[in-house]
Amino acid sequence: MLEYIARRLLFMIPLLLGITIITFVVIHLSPGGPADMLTGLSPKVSAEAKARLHSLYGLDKPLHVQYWLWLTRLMRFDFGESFKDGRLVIMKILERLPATLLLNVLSLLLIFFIALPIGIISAVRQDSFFDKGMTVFVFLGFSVPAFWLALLLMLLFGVFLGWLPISGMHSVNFPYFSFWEKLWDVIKHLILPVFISAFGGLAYLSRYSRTSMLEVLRQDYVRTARAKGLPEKKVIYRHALRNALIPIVTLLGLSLPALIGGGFIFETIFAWPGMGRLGYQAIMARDYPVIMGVGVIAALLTLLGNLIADITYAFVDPRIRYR
Amino acid sequence: MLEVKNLWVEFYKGGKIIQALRDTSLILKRNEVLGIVGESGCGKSTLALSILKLIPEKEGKVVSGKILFKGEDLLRLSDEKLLKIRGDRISIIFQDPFTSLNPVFRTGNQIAESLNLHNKQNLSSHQIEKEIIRLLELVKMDKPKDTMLSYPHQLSGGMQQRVMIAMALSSDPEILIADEPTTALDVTIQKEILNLLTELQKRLGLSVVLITHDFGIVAQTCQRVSVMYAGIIVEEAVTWEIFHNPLHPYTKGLLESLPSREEAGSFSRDEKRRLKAIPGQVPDPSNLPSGCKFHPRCPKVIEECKPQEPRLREIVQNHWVRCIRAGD
Repeated sequence: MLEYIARRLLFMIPLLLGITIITFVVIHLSPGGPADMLTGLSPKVSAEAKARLHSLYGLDKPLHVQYWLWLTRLMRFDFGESFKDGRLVIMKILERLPATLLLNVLSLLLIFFIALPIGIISAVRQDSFFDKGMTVFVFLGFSVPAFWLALLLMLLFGVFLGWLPISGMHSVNFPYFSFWEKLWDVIKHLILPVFISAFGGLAYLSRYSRTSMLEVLRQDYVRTARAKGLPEKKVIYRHALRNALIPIVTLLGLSLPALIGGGFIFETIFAWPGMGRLGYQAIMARDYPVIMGVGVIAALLTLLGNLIADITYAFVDPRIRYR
Repeated sequence: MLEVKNLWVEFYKGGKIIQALRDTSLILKRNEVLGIVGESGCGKSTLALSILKLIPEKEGKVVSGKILFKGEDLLRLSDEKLLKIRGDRISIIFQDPFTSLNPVFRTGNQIAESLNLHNKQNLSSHQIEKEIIRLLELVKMDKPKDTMLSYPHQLSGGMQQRVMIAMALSSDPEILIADEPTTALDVTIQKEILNLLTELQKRLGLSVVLITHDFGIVAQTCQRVSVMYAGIIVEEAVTWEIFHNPLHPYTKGLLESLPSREEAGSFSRDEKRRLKAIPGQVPDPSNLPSGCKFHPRCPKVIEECKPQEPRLREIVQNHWVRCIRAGD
């Protein structure tokens, strides 16, 4: 097992390289550079000034040389400095990472603890009122764009009802709060973003776990469990559920990239001080080092998520043993 | 011991109603091995499952009839009472042991689960472990301690079926229903499992319902046979009688389609006779023919076979046949 994990970690290196190359190329292909973003709107800036900026950032060198320079710095865990404010990229990311992790972990938990029971109960009571109701909910979940729903909910809870704050992570007077007030403040700020980023996943996972459970309930070993004389509850929650969970566990890792990807949109909508918003702002400013830094961290989190899913897979399914 | 009375079972498939069992009755006596023979789709597995009420509600249901176990109708028992009989006093083993064992639990745990469920003497966990080993030795597993800790996929098909048998016997049942217990296994293993079942039946005084499509297995193991066709019993007699004096044309056809050992050995290449097959096909259960359900394939069919399904008649003593021409 340890050897397997070590090997998987080694394999992540070429994968990461590939991801960084693609990110690097794509970001340089997009029109406009950091110098334009800083100066483009001002007619007073001369062409020489722009060229000076270019050479300052090293943007006058050929692309592969730029990539190589970036990569060699990365080897020393040096993500470079932001073009925009000259701060270390790693610092900018580190101060944003906790907010992103908080948001994502919470929505992941929400997805699993709500979608899983919904799916299981729907399967066990197939075609019941509950099952049909949930099918409608899932249909909505798939069809309603989350960013649009986010705006509607902000309007309802933030503007009309005034119950929840609509942006940021803290209130303005946060530093003056007591511990419990601080906690409550953060929770209030979390409700909408967590719900919105969990929304799509809720629909998807509940459908998926329903299918998985239905599939398992048809299996011979479920019949064996009944034939043993086990009460129906144990048949379902011991014999069937344990097997239905196997494919769902893999989703845990696979849904991580989607959450991080979604973070770019939702964090921007809710002005959530996370990595996604940092990435979005960096893209808008063509702040290459920050974009690359966010890309690398997001890729790393995704790959780690996959690895964790694979390892859990081996734990829940005895038929899988990695060599 | 166990009596099935006029059992009707229906399945629903694609909006159609399929009559899987039509007016099926049988009696299982104490310490007896009763064989139920028929082609696939004739309703024999349905019969096995309905005895323990194991037909999934969404797929089908018992429409009418009784299943009497020691005078009590299993079909009318409360769930709670049913669970005290199912897997406890009546156990069942299935065709494919690989899919019938839960892949994520160790075999020992699966047996222990049954033991705990039907734990009559309140065994401690240490005693349970001993009991598992005893059961695995009973079904002739070489290394019971290793088997206990294995997952089903680590065992061979024969070993998996032994585990299934051990599990079925863990409650010390009175009746064992074996639904094609050897069909999914290699021929050599089939023999071992059958011998094991026969031996255990004698040793433990079990009454067994053995469901199979293989007359060879019946000859080896059963005292009495019921032959099923299209959801109904067409012939019933003691094994010897069925083999030597088959009265229903379907039973005759089935027996003629068996290769006998002497024949198979004595044929030279050019003499090789083709095994006789029954002409035609098993009728579509959602669209059964009128009258005797076998008449479209029957070599002795006459006009009178077509309008009405024949009654089961006792032609020779204890030899029942559902054919109007039997005994002609």
